[in-house]
Amino acid sequence: MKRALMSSFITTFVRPAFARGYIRVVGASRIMVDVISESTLPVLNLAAYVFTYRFLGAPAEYIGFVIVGGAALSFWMNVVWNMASQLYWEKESGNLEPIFISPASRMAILLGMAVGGFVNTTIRVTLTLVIGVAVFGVGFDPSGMSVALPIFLLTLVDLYSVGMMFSSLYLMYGREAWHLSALLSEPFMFLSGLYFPARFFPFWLQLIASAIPLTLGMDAVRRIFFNDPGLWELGAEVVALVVMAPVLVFIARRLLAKMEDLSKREGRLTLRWQ
Amino acid sequence: MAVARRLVDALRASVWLGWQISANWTDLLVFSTYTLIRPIFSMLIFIFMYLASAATGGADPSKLSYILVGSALLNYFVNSNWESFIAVHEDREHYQTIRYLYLASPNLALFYIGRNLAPVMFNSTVSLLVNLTVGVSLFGVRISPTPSSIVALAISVPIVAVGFLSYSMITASIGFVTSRYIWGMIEGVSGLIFLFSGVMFPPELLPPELAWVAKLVPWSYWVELLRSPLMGIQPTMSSIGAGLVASLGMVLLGAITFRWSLSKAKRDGTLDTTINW
Repeated sequence: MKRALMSSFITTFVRPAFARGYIRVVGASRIMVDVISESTLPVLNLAAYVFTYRFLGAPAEYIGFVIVGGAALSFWMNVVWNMASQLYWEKESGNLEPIFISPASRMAILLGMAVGGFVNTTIRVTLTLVIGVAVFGVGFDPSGMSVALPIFLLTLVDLYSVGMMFSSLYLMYGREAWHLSALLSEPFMFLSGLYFPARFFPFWLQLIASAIPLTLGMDAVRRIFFNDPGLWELGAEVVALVVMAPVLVFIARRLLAKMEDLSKREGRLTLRWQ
Repeated sequence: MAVARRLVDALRASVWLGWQISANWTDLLVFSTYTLIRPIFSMLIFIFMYLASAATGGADPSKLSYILVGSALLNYFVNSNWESFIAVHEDREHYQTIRYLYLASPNLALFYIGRNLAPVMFNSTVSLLVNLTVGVSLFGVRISPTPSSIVALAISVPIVAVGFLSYSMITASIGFVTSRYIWGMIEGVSGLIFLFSGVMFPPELLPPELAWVAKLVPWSYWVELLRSPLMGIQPTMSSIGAGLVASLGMVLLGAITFRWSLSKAKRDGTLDTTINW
């Protein structure tokens, strides 16, 4: 019985997750020009923010905020456009039907997309960070790496869980999906304080912003690397990030089932060009 | 006369189509709300960057005005870039309608000008007005147009508009000859605009080995033409002349690249090839 369950878990969860992640990594990394261009192009945007700070006469550590914020933004954009929106892409390209009629777990597909996206983005972000640090001479305290890295990884787990949560909405929608993705871009970039410390928000906005994992993760990383005073105590931020992950995955799972049911009833599950 | 009327009708139809593609997924109120959210939050990012800098002793309200007017103008550049790159891609790959558009439209270049016009003008102008209103009323942005600067603005807008429309021909042309690189192109060109147009900071701040690029790209001249009158500064004749030359250059370049890339796509049989969807 136990063996059969394990076998079923491997067949319907582990293998689909691996397959989805494998396609994502190989598909996006097989052309080196793509990897290099996707790593270097974001530096143009980062450079513009850096020069804006220089124009404003900001202290040198703010340049570091921009570089670290830019790295985090790459992950967030991956979550929004390649994780949350992915089921929309699958629907529009006609892949959703085979995925949904297969015995594979929906959550396994999402997990595969998340892990694959994480691997791809990590490769690109590492290159972006190296270029950014080298070009702008960002100084940070490397002794904090052992603490900052696990916190950043924890933040990413939460972020990809947010992506899983939103992905279910895309089962229902067509062009609205584009706009929803856009809605998840600038407002989240602002609220998570990617390019400036969120402690400059009024208190009520700090509370709202703290519900976003990226705000807490960025705040913690800024505090560790650049000695920024931060929003809350580091321990409290870590606890919040740890608690968020299972809650978000649970909501994602419930939402996925609910939206699949709703979109089937409304006949929109496989409806293209809405 | 009949030809001119046919072209005007075609332009009107393509503007209508562009608007429908952009907006008919919801009602006008929801669409307007969505349209406003991005630029408002984008502006707030720059405001808080200013506040964070000001808290460390770098307060200078004139710089806040500079970046807020810049962030309001940036929407035209970003929206124009996005819409013009994505239009051909959507028609060919996603909706698979490009062969019908090619057959039905008396002039494909005119079609793409019209298709991009409605979303870019509506989104960007509404954003510009809201950004300036919020900036002036809440953050003390100083916008003091004088009668002469309003005249200058009236001269600048058509010059920049012609340049923009021609620029969108170039990006549409790129869409005819590539598919998989379109997303990277959007990000790359947006980054170039952001960095070299002087929209958020004066290009003189760039290191000398990069500053010359800002003199080569047309965006920096167009930004200057629009920003100066809004801030009550009379643009010089040389800056108007530079903007005009940049726009005319774009007209020429746009016409050549559009003709060449359309012809190449037809010759290679890739005009309606779908590989992305």
